[in-house]
Amino acid sequence: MSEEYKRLYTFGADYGTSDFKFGPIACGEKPEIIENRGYFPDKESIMYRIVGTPKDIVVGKEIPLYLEAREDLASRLVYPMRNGIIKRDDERAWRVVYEITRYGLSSFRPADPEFDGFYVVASLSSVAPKYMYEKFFDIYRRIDEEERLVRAATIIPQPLSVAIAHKVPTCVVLESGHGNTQVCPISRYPIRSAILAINRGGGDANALTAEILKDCGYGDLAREEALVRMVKENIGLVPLDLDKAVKVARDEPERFRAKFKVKGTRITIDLAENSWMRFLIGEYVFNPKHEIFQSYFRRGMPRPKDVKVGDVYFRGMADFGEAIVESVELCPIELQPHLYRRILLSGGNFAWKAPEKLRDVAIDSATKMERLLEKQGISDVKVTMIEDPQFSVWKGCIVYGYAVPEDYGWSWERMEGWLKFRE
Amino acid sequence: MNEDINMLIERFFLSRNYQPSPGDRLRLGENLILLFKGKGERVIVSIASEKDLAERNSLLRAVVKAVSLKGRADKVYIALPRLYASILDSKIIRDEALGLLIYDERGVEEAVPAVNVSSKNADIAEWIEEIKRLRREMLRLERKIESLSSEIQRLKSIKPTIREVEVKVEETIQEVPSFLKDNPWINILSQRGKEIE
Repeated sequence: MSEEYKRLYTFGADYGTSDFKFGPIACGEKPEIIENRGYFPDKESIMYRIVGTPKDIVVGKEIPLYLEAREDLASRLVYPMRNGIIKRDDERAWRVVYEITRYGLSSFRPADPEFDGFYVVASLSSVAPKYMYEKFFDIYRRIDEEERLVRAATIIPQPLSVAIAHKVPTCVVLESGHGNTQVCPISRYPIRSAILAINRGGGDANALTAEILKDCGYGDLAREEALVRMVKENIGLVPLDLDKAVKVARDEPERFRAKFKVKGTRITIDLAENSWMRFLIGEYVFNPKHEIFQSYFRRGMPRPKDVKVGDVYFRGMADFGEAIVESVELCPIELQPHLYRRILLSGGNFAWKAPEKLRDVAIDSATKMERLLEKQGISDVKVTMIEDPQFSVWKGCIVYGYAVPEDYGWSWERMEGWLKFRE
Repeated sequence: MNEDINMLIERFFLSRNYQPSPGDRLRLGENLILLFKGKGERVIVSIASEKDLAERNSLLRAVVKAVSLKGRADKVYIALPRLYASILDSKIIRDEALGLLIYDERGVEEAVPAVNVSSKNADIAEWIEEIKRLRREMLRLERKIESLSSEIQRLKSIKPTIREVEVKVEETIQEVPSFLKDNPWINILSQRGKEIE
């Protein structure tokens, strides 16, 4: 196949925790998006006995049409990519991945009679173990055998996609999602031996927010995960310096008052004189080691633990500044200053507001990272929050597929190149 | 009875558009031979009567004689009384490309059709010709491969001069999305594989 053919039929597939973003280069600036989940309908349901047996698994936009108000809904609705890793033997999760992949590729099958399969660039978490690569390639091979939709496939780590989409060849990408955070230094290639994983993400900030709600008398609402998340996103603040921010907020409770009305309901949450607590949420994301959090751990809030998932060791309590330094120091010394000079923050866990009237003590994520690195003795840094975080991984996939030569074969040693399933 | 048999056999061939040949009957040992012409071929029928077959081994001798007639006509039949035909294995007849006619007082029946020996020979001649042609073709290709192989050796010994031309990948794209425009990764990634070599 020619380079022209490959460029025409490059296909990006970003397997995010919540959403699957996919589409060919022809999509332009925006790919198609569906939730990264699959629903296994209850085939014993009386309704299906009457109207006919549904599919074994439903994915894509028609999932809501099949959902049932049942207690076991949670077990039937499978999100395969929680924490970026799928267990080797999690058959239902792999089944969902197969279905959403087939759904994505089939929905863009071109009418061109010359079409003979896409060049698929998939992007996975940088901590995805090797067996996940093998399983994904098996899925692409199977889809090609069944539908002749995949001419070749390759898999790249999500932080590399982010760096490519933002046109930065040398940088550190800090990707923080719901379940975990990855630190990935990049210098034309991802430096795999220096990738660091942290067992902390947006979910942990939710847990702290729930504790704060309990302390403020909203214990009944603290059980609603979606509501807790909304509260976190609306009242959480990242402090420049936590001790100082708490002191100022306690002195001026009205200026910092956290009041949030849940849209479409009668519920209003008002932290009142406890509004200084909103700084705890932001601080906890970046640095859970502050002594103020010890009381929460003592009262039963789970402490982010060091864990091993697959072959990857996830740190629990490391602050993000420490993590970046530790990761960069695993790279060649000559390269280190260049890496510090460009740090890209990516992922929903960095989307914190810094209201203008609170700027004296509340800051955005990029400034917080600069401060944390300053504490580590690193001063010449430029931290950037990436634009368009939702689609940047997909964009990186498209650039990668467009540019990498068609005849560059997959190598398990280098973990890159095109894996072809037929001649 | 012999005359009756001759007539029956003659009628059998006349009904199939064969005509008795001039000098159409002769005797070969105990057996009577009839000759016919038609459809562009010559047919010999070697007739063995019950009397001829009375002796031990006479049936075998009759078959051997019929085989010896191959080459004198395009088709050779042996005609046997129905009773004797039943004890003869028709495979022997087929293997020898003979035909078998069986007769009794009611008529003549073709039990095994004779094979046109001369056309079979013609087929073999054609195959031999085809093999000769293929052999000639093989020799021609062998010579061609030898000459190509020496040409490759000659070209290998010449060091080509290659002028490097740098092509900017972006220039080949029309209306590219913003994330492809001025993206330094395009040139970096397009070198993948080349830098290792």
